[in-house]
Amino acid sequence: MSIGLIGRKVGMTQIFQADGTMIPVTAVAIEPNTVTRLRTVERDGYTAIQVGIEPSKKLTKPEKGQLKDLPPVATIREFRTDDVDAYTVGQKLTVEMFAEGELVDVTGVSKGKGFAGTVKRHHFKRGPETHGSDHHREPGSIGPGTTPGRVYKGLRMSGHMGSDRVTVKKLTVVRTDPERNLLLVKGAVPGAPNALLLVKKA
Amino acid sequence: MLYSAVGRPCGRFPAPDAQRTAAHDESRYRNVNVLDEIAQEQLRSDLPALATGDTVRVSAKVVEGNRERIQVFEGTVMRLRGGGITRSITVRRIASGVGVERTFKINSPRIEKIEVVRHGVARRAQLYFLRKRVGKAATLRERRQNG
Repeated sequence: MSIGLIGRKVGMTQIFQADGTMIPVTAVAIEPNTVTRLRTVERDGYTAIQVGIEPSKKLTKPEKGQLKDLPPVATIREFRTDDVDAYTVGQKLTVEMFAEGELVDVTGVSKGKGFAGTVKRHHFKRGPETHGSDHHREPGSIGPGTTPGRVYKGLRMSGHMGSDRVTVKKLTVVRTDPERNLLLVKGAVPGAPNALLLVKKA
Repeated sequence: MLYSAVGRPCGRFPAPDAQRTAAHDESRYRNVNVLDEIAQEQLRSDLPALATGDTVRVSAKVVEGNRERIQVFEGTVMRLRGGGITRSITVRRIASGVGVERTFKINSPRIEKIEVVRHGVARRAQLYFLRKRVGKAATLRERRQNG
């Protein structure tokens, strides 16, 4: 299991390759992450590193106590890893840990769509718009009648869509920009601009 | 209640903070600009001003087998599309009696150079009418310099 970094989505743009092809990329702003804690088997029962970003002055006293001698960070996440010994508390991890051409998994929270119908949520076919039809975006039949006299479990219906934790796997790192603390990955990642993202080596 | 509209802090643009460094503030506010910067860096500065109706000579790198050479395509700029990094031109010429149109992304690294041979008079943005014309009817008057 490899560790990752916390970043924020900036947005999408395009990059020319040397062979003239243009590829879509998402820019992820990854400010240097501070290692705030190491989880060990003896103490915690598992091994992980805890990293934090973004200075905050609104920390509670207990939170400040946890971050004694460390910069006050607002956002803290853990990454499971076996080699905790390679890291020290207070260490800064930058975007340079990713190499160009490497594959990464990006986790984030997808954009919320609210209460969505079956056409948007499950890609149901829509009904006719005209010719007397009122069956525009209706779900259609939801099952048999008296037998079994109930609707089967797990039937796809309308409901809340989006705001899910989504991981997009194996995105290629197109460019790392340590000067601007940027990571450019090929393709789209979940969430709106400024959304929190976890970038892990695939 | 749109707090951001009346200058109250919202999640995206938090209030200035004593513990924030200048560099950090910049990183929070620059978000959109950094995308512009990335696009800006890829724009070429060595291109001439292009307009529809111009006759241009485009030198593009092509790969043949494992050899790379430069192919020259000369014709009339039929249309300009896109802005910034996506800007492209469609060049039309009559090659051995057949109309040929090629589209080039003008900021592409595969373009060696673009030369303007002649400025033509074009009274519209897209010269699709050229497709129906052959011979002399498909030529455009030369633009005269006002002087």
